[in-house]
Amino acid sequence: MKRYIFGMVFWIASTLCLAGLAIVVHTWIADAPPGRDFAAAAGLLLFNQGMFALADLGRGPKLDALGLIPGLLWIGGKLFVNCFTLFLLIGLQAVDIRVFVSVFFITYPLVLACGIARIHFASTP
Amino acid sequence: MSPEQNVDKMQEVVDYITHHVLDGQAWTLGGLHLDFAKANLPPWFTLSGLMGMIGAGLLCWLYCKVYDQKARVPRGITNFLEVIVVFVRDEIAVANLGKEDGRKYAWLFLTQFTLILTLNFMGLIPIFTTATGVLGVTAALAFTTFAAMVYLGVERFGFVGFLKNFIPHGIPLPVLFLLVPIEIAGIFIKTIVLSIRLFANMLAGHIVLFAMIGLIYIYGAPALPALLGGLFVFFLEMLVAFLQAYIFTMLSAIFVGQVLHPEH
Repeated sequence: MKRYIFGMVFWIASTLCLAGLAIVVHTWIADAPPGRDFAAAAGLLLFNQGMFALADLGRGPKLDALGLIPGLLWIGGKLFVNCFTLFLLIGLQAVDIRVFVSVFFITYPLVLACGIARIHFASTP
Repeated sequence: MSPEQNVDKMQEVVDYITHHVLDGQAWTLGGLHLDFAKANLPPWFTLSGLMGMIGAGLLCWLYCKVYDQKARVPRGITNFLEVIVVFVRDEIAVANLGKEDGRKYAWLFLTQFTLILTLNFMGLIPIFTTATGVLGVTAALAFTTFAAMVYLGVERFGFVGFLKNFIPHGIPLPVLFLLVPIEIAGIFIKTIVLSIRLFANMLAGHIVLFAMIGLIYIYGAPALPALLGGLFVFFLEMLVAFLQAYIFTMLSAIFVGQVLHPEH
């Protein structure tokens, strides 16, 4: 129970921090109020953050018993959605690529680092 | 859309691909543009060099700081890193050099494998570029294998003994005049082939991927099926990234093994 409460607090706090960073980057790059480009980048970032939170909070004895399979499925699913959305938005030029790419790819390494660090520290031998 | 507009867009895509896959002195990320020349950095400091430094720095940090050597039962990232170490040591180094030499020189193959794997995967993240898609980088990596072959061969057999190993046993003298130069050239050819294989594989994958996305950019919604092609190539690239790191390290171990154990 303690792990869940701490985990929830961690994920909410880190999401708020990352949202703040994304807004700062957007303001720096676009010099305009957040709009469609920001929403697209923030949505994809939120999806990634949600997947990490799910991997952290949703772990259980049943999943552990299956070994690598859940982890690989999780990575595969996450990559598929990320690539599909990115290729679609960039290919169709549905968003301002300059703003979308900057906001997403400057914030994403931190989402990644944050998620991996949390899963690392919460993992059991 | 008129054919002229299509041609213009095609040219844009070609320019983008060329700019992205070639090495340069600028790092462009969306609205950000970092020019190394303007920052008074030397001409040899290129983007692929920077990527190499980032990759090497990341690995140093992971193995020196994050890796918990005291942990009796590894967990988290230590466990993940240990899987890689054991895989390279047992399946590549020991399998090709024997138990004693394999364990002794596992560090070399582990360094090659982890660095190539990191640089290959970094190339799949749009914020970075593929350092292993630049011939200079792969040539430098292949040179480490060449240096290991020569240094370890001379260290084990002495300079004369190392040269003697180029002479096959039981071959008539006239044939030796043909075979010995081929054997000596072989050590250089192996190194060159090692570098070109990695370079070509990483470069080709990226060009195909960009071309797929470029189709959607040029033709719009009717070219949407190309998205599935792009996704397929992306996942294929992930496989290739691992496979090429494995092949490079495996061949490297085989070449060093041949020098250390010429009787086999």
